[in-house]
Parts: sequence; structure tokens; C-alpha cells
Amino acid sequence: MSALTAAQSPQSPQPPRSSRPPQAPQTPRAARIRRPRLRPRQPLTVLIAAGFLVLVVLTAALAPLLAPYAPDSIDLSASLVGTGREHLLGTDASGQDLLSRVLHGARTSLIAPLALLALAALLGVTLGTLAAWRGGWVDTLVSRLTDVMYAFPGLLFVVLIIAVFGAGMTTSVLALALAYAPTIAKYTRSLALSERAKPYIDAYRVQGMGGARICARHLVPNLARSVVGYLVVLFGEALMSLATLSYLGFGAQPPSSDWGLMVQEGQAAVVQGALLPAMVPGTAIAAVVVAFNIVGVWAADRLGSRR
Amino acid sequence: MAGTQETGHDGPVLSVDALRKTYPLPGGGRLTAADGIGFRVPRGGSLGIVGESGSGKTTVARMLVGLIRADSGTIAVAGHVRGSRPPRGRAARLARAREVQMVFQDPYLSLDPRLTGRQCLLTALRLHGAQAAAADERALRLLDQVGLGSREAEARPHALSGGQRQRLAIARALAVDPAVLVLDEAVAALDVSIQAQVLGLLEEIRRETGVALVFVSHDLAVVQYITDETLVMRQGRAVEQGPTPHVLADPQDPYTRALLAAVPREGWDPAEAVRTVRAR
Amino acid sequence: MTTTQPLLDIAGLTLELPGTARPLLAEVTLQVRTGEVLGLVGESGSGKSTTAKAALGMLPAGGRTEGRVTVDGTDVLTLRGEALRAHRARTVAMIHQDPRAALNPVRRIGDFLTERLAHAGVTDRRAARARAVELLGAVGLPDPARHVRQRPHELSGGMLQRVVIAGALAAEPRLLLADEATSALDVTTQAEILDLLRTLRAERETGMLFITHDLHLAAAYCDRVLVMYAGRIVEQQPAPALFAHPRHPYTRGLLGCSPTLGGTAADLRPVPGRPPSLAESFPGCPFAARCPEAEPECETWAPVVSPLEPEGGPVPNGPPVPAGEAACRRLPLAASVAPATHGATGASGASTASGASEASAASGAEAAR
Repeated sequence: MSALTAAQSPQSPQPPRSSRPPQAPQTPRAARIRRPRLRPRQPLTVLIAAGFLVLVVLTAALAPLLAPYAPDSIDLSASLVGTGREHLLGTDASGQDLLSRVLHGARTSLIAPLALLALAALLGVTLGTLAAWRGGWVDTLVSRLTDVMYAFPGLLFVVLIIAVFGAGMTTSVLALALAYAPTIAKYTRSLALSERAKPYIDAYRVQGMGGARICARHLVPNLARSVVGYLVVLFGEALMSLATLSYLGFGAQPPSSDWGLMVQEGQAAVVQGALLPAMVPGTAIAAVVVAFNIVGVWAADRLGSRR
Repeated sequence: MAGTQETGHDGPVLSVDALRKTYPLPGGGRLTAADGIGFRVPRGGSLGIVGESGSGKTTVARMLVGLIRADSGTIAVAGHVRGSRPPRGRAARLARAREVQMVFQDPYLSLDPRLTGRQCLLTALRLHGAQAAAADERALRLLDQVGLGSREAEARPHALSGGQRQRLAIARALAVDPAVLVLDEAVAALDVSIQAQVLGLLEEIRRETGVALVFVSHDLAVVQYITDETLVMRQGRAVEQGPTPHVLADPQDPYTRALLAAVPREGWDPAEAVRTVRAR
Repeated sequence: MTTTQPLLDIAGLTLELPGTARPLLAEVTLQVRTGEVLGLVGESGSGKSTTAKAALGMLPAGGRTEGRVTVDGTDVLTLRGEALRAHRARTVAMIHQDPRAALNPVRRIGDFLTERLAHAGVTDRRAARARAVELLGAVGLPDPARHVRQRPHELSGGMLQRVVIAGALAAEPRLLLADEATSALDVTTQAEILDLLRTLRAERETGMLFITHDLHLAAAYCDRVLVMYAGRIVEQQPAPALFAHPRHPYTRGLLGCSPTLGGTAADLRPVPGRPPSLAESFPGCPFAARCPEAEPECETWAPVVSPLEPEGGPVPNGPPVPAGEAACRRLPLAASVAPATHGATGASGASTASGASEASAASGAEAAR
């Protein structure tokens, strides 16, 4: 295409249309101008990341079929074995097969952030919509509340809750859901404010529809795309936070195969020269979080910027 | 057909008296958006509210449907005075909705982007108590009435043109069977050929259903086609009101004269128009 | 300088974009002379704005362009880089519909003007300041010295449009493009802005391409009016003649559905259907589907703009231009009148006619494809 450009001087007079072969692909001018990206190209990285995530979800679902061993079958005779035919990714200090544990661990590691975000979204979207719809003191209250939560270190807040209610996966999920809700509320509020100003919402009010029904049936569904896009971005972060809590001993408790917990358990083996018990779950966390961020940013762009 | 206009009341279907609305200004004091606005519209009649930007015409329109609360004054539909606050309770809300409906200016934002034409009408019909089968049938009749076909019935707003959207918005307002229909710059965003179609449709609907129209517009030439009476607003006040042909042919107020002089037409000279505008 | 050379000369401009069924512009040919106001009228999607942007060399990227756009003797479509920037900064200026969108809300009015002046070559800050105040005075803003220190939000829409016009005048452009420049304004403000533009034209001899959807405004304000439909020119006549004797059915349709003061409801005759989108293509005349006078042959007739026979006598005080042109199959065959018109009207007439024949050849090629 660039050769064509160089070959024909821009000043050359346009050949009369009729004398040109009808299948002449493009005029020199058109060749010089870059084609617009009508459909944004899907970068290879997004495709790879998405493919990887599909794979992760599938293995999590099929973990019992794929895992060569039960995740909690202890074999002290095979403690800290390296990679080999018996144990593809080796074993940990208790001789548990690392591959089996990581595969099973994918379940908690994926379902827990999902539950967390669902809960946080329920709370955040409700509060954000309420604030935007009612305005006045309701808005002030919700906004101040979210501001306070913003200023307060999230992890500290979560640790505080766990200190009161005790460690465990359920408490961690609940505590983190509370910590994430304000972010979502703030985002929803700004979306709802601009959506509420549109005349179709006025039209529902003029029709005599009640505020609760307008919000639940028409306002929130119209925000759903943007909110979901935002949640995908948050997923990686949520997974990371949960893994952190498990690592610190606040989250999943043994004998769970949660990845964060596995990293913590594998830590001791590093001193003994065995890297795999910490590396395997650590890599799993890193890979999934990075993949979610790549897909999340892409999805947020596409879902958020419609209309 | 259960519109309030058929309850035996034989006065004007819409009577507005001494309507007033002010807004606080940032530097203290208050901006008068509307003051002392009053008019009557008979059943099947139509009133044009004309004015330039900032004259308060949209404020009046939104007060009529209850989207803005008036500071004082009364709005009565078929003799029933509308409270200034939105009513509590579903039945009262729906009854109020059947008094006045509205068509908005922006056909791109006044329809729910998720709903198809048919769903949009069904939502309104079902809200007002129509049974499933009856609602379906009524939706089809309404679509037909505003000149939309089956393709448009199943299309979402983004697949409709501006004129089609505005037809759908009119059908949605009619679904509630209102006594009064307020149109706020409802044809301003449309191409002229489409604008004429929609004006024709409104005239037809007025004849067939007897709905009273309040037509808010900045365009004097458009207003004369569709209204019996005209009210000219300037800075929140009515500077002139009367039968449309009189107001346009023999304007009494200098502001109305200026507005008319500024409408371009054959042989029109902007310099002359400016002189009339400045002389007011 | 030769006076016969038009200021803006667009010849056979065709623009196609990938993913659209019909060209954005199809064989658009028009001329604006020095000191002339050419009205460009049409509904949404007719290609009015795209035509104006062509004069700025701002056609959408990725399009397939044919034809020529010349401003003051310069071929605009081949300009690149610095030359194109200079063209946009000095020769042509555009006034848009929304003055607020044209002005940076956080910068002062004076900065907007001095920036435009800097582009036009006035680099001395003190001189630019003084010139900015002068320009604001020229567009009729009272107390210009105060306004240069204000920000856009402090001024009304009408005042802002005056500021935008002052900015457009900063470079003393030869050609003004007004794209719905008064459509967002109140009628009284519109009259003031039009009065101002008319005065400026008289003083500076600028040519103007005046784009509007309002046929009556075009009639009242322009010297000649050109009607566009679906990216094509369908009619071109001196303004009084266009309104007295519209020849193309679309022009008649537009006139019939434009509200006029003193009209009655019965006068308003809507054009059926709606303006075509870019997804619709037409084997023949694009207006055929909405045309009350269409015949089966119109569905396949490739539109050709042909000179019109003068009707209703010569226009008093009008410039010596052909009576007009229209693209309708049912009008009296142009070929019979074309040669006569040629000799009488000289260069401009000849160029239009050749444009038209080129256009017909091109549409033939299109049909063959």
C-alpha cells in the first residue's frame, strides 16, 4: 500500500473515473489515509488472557476429575518431592500433591471473590442509587459514609472485623464486601445521577410510576453494563485481597487448599530449599490476577462506553 | 377512555392561575422563572407557550406535569385542583398521571434504551392496570395511531430515527389516556419534513381523542399551525396572550412584535429586525 | 487576481466511507465567489457539513475521495502539514452551531483571540491584545476591553457567538464557513448575528458558505441557495428564484413543509418518509421513494445536475450566473438549453456544465460496478 502511495505523486491529476478499471481498489488519496478502526482490534494479550481464564474456570469446575490425588491426602513418605512422574508439580511438606491442591484451590479462590463482589455490589449499588435518587440528606449521609470508608485503610478495617468476629473465609468475605461496597456505591452514584437526569426517567415519573419501581426496574438495569464492567476490573483485586487475608491466617483455614493459605504453608519449605510449595500457588494467584486485569480493563472500556 | 375529562365537568379541562416559581440565585436574591402565569384550555383545545431561552416556558411545562413544584398558584384539570406535592400512594399517583402527560424535547434521551417500542407502551399500559391481552391489543392500536409499524414495535430506540422516536414518545403519553398533553419543544429537534409529519399527527390526535394540547416552543411559525391560543412569555411573565391569529397578526406587546420581526422570511432584512428588537 | 475565479471551487467531490451503503457526498460541485453568500440547505445526513469541512481539508479519515476542492486557487485536498495548518488558520474560518463547544471554558476570551491571532501571524503580544479588543468591538460587543478578561461562562450564547466570529475574523479569512451558526440562538439574537455577518461581508468582501436547515432563513439571507439531498446537490438557484420557482420536487417538498408565519395548518404538506440514512443506497434518484411525482424510470435514473431554463425572468441585481441547476429526470432536458447557456455565461457556466457531464460519466461507472 505504501509502495502505491510513493508511486503516484499526490499532485497527479485524478484520472477520469470512466477510464479507470472499475475494480481499481483505491485512489492514491485513499491509500494515504489510514483506515479508521471501526471495530477496535482485540489485542492478542486480551485473547490469551481470556483463554487462560476460561481454562482456569474449567479446571476449577472439573477439579475432582482432573486432580490425580485428593487434595488432602497426606503421604508423609513423599514429603517435598520435586516435579516428577508421580507428582507433576511436586508435593508439599505433608506430601500432599501440589497439582491436586492448586486445582481444587481454584474453586475457593474463584468463588470467594465472586461472592464478595456480589455482596459488595448489592450493597454498593443499592446505596449509590438511593443516594442519587433521593438526594438531600440521604445523599449527604451516604457520601460522607463512603468518604470515611475511603479514608480508612481497607485492610485495617477488615482485620478489625476479623478480630471481633474471628478468622475464617466467611468472615473475610463479609468484611471485604463491606470494604468494597463504598467504592461501588460511589461509582454507582455518579452513574445514577447522570442517568436520572435523562428525560426517560422523568417520563416514568410523569406516568405515575413509584420511585422504588423506577429505580429497580429501569434505572439500575440501565446502569448494569457499566457496573458489571467495573466489577470485572475489581475481581482481580478482590482475589488478591482474599489471598492476602488467607496468607495472614485470617481467611481460609487448614486443611483448605486456598491459594493464599498454600503460599503461607509453603513458605517454611523455602528455607529447606523447596521452592515449589510456595511458587505453584503464588504463580497461580499472579497469573489469574493479571489475566483478570487485562480482560477487566478491556471489558470496562467496551461495556462502559456504549451509547 | 376513563379520562377525567368525561366526569361531567364542562368548564375548561385545564385551568391555571397565578402560577409562580422562583429559584435562589448563588449571589443571594431569587430568580423569577415564572410569575402570574394563568390560562384556560378547553377540551380538544390547544395553547402555545412561546418565548426565548430563559423565558420560563419549560418551567411552566414541568410544573404542569408535576416535575417541578410551584411556589404558589393553582393547576386544575377538569375542575380538580392538583396538589403541589406528588401524591402518596399508587392509586393517587396513577390518577394524577391520567390528568397530564408530557412529550419531551430530546427524542434521543426520552425513551428507555432497553425497551422496544412495544415494551415501552406495555410498561405504561400495565402500570395503569391493563390486563395482558388488552394491553397487547391497545399497544398495537397506539403504534398504528402514531404511524409506527411492526418493525418499529420490535426495535429499540437506538434503531429508530428521531421522528420515529418522537412518535413513540407521543404514543407512550397517549397510552395513559391523559386529559392534557404537554409538549415541550417536541418537534424542535426534528428535520423539517419530519416536523411537519409530527405536527400533522398531533392535530389528528387532538381531533380524534379530544385531548387538550399545551405546546411549548420557541418557534412562532410552528406554534401557529397547532394552537388556538398563544401565550408569549418573557422573563417569567406573560407579556401577551390571546387567540393565535390575533397575537401573530396584530401583536400588542413590543416584545411580541420583536419576536415576529426576527423570524426570517422572504425579503426579510436582519438589520430591520434588529431595529425592531432594539426598539422594544 | 482574476475576478472570474471562484473563491471556493468544489468540483465533482465524491466521498465514500467503508461500511456505508451510499457515498457521503456524490459529485458535489459548487462555487462561492468573493463577497457572495451561498446557502447550503438540506436535512440531516444530506452532506452539508461534510461539504463545508472539505473546504478546510477535513474529510473523514479512511474515506475514498474523488474530485477537487480549490480555495483561492489552492488545491486543499493535497495540502499537508504546515501548508494545511496555514490554510486552516488564515484562508478559511468556520463558525459552528454551538459557541460553547468552540471555546475553552477555563480560558479567557482574550486568550482565545490572541491564540487565533498568533496562528495568523500576529505574534507580538501587545499588538495581539490591542487587536483582540479591536475585533471584539468590530463584532459589536459593548465594552470589549472588559470582555477580553472574561471567561466563556460569563457571557450569553449570542455574545459568545460574536466572540467566535471575532476569532474567525482574526486571520482576515477570504472564506467563512457558517455551519448552522445561528441555529442554537434565539430568533432575536439570530437576527443580530446575521446583521453583523452581513455588515462584515460588505466591509471585507469575504465569501461565505452558509449552511442551514431553515429554508426560509436561506431565502432571506443568501444570494444563491443550493439544496442537498442524500449527499447530492438536487437544485441550485438564486435565492429569490428558488423560492418563487422551486424546480426540484424535493425543494418544493421542503418549502411545503417549512412552517411560515401567516400560514395555516392546511398549508403544511409533509414530505412522506424520512431523510435516508447512510445504510440506504439508491440505484436511481435518491428522492424517488419520497417523491410525489416519481415515475418508475426515476428508480433507475442516475441523477445528473443540469442547467435550468430561466423561468420567471432575470433576477434584478443578481450576479451574472446561470439561472440555476437541478437534478431531476422530469425537468425539461437540459441538453437542449445547455449550449446556449454556455456561451452567454462564460467560464463559470462552462465549468458547471463540464462538472455535470463528468458527474454523469462517473455515475455510469458506479452503476457498472
